[in-house]
Amino acid sequence: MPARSSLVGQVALRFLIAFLLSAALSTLVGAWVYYAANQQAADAQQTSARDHYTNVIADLERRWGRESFNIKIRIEAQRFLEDPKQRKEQLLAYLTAQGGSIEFPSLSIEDPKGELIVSFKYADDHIPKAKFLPGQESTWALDPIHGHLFLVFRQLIWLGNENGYLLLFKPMDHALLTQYSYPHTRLSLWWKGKPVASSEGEEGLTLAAQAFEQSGKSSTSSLLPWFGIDNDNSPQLLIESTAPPLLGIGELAGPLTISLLTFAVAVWSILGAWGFRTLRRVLALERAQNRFRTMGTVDATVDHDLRTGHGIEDDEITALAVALENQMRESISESRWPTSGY
Amino acid sequence: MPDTLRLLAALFSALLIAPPLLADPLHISVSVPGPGAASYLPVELISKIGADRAEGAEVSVVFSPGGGNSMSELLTNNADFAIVGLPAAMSARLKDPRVIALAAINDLPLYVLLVRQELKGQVKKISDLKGKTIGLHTNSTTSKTTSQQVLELIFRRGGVPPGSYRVVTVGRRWDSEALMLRTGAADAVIGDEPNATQMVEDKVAFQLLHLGDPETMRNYAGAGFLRGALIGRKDRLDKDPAKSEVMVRIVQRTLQWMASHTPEEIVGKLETRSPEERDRLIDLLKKYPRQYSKDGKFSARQLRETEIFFIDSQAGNPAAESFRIESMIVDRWAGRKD
Repeated sequence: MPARSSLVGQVALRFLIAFLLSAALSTLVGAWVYYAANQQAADAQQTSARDHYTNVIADLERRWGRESFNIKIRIEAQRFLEDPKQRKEQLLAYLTAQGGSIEFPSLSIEDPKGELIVSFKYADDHIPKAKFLPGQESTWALDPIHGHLFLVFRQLIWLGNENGYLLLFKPMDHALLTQYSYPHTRLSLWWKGKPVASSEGEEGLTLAAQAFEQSGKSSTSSLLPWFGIDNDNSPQLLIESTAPPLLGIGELAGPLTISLLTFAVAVWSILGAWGFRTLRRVLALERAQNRFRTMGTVDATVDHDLRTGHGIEDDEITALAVALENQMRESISESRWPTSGY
Repeated sequence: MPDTLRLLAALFSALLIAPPLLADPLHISVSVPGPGAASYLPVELISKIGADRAEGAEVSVVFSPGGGNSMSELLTNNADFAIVGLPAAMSARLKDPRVIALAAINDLPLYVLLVRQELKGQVKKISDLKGKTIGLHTNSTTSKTTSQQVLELIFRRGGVPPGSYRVVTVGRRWDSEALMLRTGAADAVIGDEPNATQMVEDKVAFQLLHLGDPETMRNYAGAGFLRGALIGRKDRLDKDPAKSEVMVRIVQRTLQWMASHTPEEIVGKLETRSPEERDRLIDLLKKYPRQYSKDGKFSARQLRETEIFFIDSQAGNPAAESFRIESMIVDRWAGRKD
């Protein structure tokens, strides 16, 4: 005969299992919400960042194109280049007096054969040699010694009796990316798999290396080709989100624990208390039955247990208590029934 | 047996020492006006004497046309630090609270007011420059470079108020400054040594005023201001204080090396100079032995002078007049002296 299992134990075990299942379910739901919300926020952030920087790149190219044309017009209007003897000195004095162009700190002018006529470097940039295909107006050039990347614009410029070339050099440096970055976003520019500039300076280059390797797999970074200039040979802009996740584990665990505890208290108040009260009535009837069988009579304890079994509600247990009492009354004479006042 | 033990001990010590030596050096970039400006010579010396390697770092120098540009390089992440005139950094600090000063580089400021040679006889005093075109290394309407502040101060004291002369940019290199004076694009320039001496020797210009002269220093309150200072950023210092600490130690090591070597030995380290340039620089170092700080410490007296100079040169600017230099001094590593 199997060992007797207590009803209280069964109910308590079921309550515990239900609580643990609820806790596990809440944790799973919490984890799902955590990953789904953060993933969605990261995706939305990357999508808007890509849209934003696509427009920024297009806008920059328009602005640099206008500025390079304006510089050519200004130089041609001065007519310095038409006098081969004086043109170098006059042009350099003119450019120096203006303090250099903010967009193009370095420029050079070449004759139709590509021989250098004059070179102006406002900053101490080392200008690399730029190679242009026929008809090409802009290209990329890397200074291999210092690792500086330049966007080079080329235009025809009138030298007095023939056209030469005006080359304008735009440094793609940390400053440019810093100027266009916004909080919680790190930008870095990559040229043939190597970082050349970052919105966080030199330190940003090291930090961006890992994100570059994971770009395409990670939802917090994406690569945007710098289209428009030379699509087959363009650098890539790596956009990294450095913002903390939308939902933190602590932020999610707190409300989940509170709701789980509230649920447990509510379940206990509604089901648990009622269940154990009902159970107490059944147990009281069992005790009354056992004691009656042992003693062969009804004493105050049996009477008390029968009254407990009656309970307040008129339900099946009440009917059972009444039936049990009637059975006991039939077994003994009415005079032996205690007058306990119950 | 003892020999074997000693060998094993030596190998073990070598293994312990090797990782720091093999580790990647800390990369530090510094933007400085130049090249060739005597005031910023310590920066050019850093890698030549190995002061950076001794601190486990590698310093790369980014030259710019002027103090304003160096400040921009610092504030836009193109450089980790800048070395510029402290008054220029104070002017930048009015607009950007990230700007901080970490160490003193110079002691004596050596600005020179040069007038183009053709005007010799016509220009004998500062007031004769009224209506003329004055060249500055760089120019900005939002923050003033040190040379701009020097110009405004000495001109106002000389009876030439702001707005009664024209300003043009002349760049920092000797060739661009000389070109602007020779072509008449500029009538006078606020120049630096040793370019100023060269321009006088080559009869491109003559000297009207030299801030390094003791008499000039007596006439101009605050003329002993702190010229070159190591400038950093507060946000970067908070994020990585070790980098600032290493840079201050490199600067101190370089200044101490300079203080313990002769002008010939110092210039001998600058390999790219022509013989004339070397002689000119040696003469300059001998003539102005007080040009550089010996230890990088901030001098309380010099900071007071710098504040006087800054407020005086920016008369009429309420923000500058209420500015206190102490708000931007970080002497945690460089230290102080009287």
